[in-house]
Amino acid sequence: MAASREVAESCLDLLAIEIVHHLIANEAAHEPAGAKFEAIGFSVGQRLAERLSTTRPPFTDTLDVMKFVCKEFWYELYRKQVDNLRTNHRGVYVLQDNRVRWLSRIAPPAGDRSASGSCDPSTIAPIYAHFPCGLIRGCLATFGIDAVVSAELSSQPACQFTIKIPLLPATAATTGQRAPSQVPPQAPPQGRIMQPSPQ
Amino acid sequence: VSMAPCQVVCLAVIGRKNNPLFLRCYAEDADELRFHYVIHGALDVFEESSRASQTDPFLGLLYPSVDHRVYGYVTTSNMKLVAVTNDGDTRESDIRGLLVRAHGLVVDAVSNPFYVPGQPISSAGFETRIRKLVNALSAP
Repeated sequence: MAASREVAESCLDLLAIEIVHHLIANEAAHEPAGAKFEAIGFSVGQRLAERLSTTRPPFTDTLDVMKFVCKEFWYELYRKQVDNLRTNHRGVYVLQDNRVRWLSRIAPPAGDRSASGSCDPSTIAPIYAHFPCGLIRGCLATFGIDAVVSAELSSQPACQFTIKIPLLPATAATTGQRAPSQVPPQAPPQGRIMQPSPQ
Repeated sequence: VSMAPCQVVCLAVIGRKNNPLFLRCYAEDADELRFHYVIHGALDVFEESSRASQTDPFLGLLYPSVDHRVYGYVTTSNMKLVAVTNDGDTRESDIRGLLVRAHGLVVDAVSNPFYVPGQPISSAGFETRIRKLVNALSAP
């Protein structure tokens, strides 16, 4: 096996900064910078999930996939696991990361740093958060889950990712209950059985 | 049981939605359409095994055919690899090793940023490496 090649982590940090600046500078009306960064994240998430799942046994259910995202996937990206995972068992999951790498490096909003509008941290930080959203969405897509991922930056550098997975129509109808995994056993049809003719 | 050396005559990669991503025949007199049918038939076996919650990705011999053997391998991301060999002197462990290495090559090909997931794999490097893998098994 070839020796794994390594790159300094700071290269990725610098690349992210440059990508965000480039996207903001070339922002088109129909394609906001955040959406583009999210699309990049989606593409990366798909491929990384494919690579990281080679030695894993198949997932049992959606919660299992979410745990994989929180532990192995996040660890591979940020060298730490997600701090908190909550779910309402109805297709909504909330991931809480108290120290997102890139957000922790953004300077807090300063007084008059607005030489150019793109230096304003409060507008830049949400764009950084789009990338992990895309990563999560791409990872879930690899395992066949179509989800909508959004991020909330309540207090930097903490970030909350909300993942909404549309439930199948059958489960959506029965509110709050899991779909029955087995069809209830039916009584064998008695009337059709030919009675043996009495001797 | 013939004593001819085992030879992989066809290798296929099938995507999550049962769409073919890659299919190559390595026998000289191969009828490619026939292998499409063979592999299409193998997809049913994948469905059954997924319902039986199988943990080992290598599914072994999928179903006996007239003069071929069909082996299957399914990844965690539900991509399926199918190897069709002739009726030669086959060892399952060899086929398993081949499919595990083929899985690694597929992951490498998917990691290509210019590859669109869901589209057929058209990388020349991938084809060369898969061919080398198949030849390594066939060579005594």
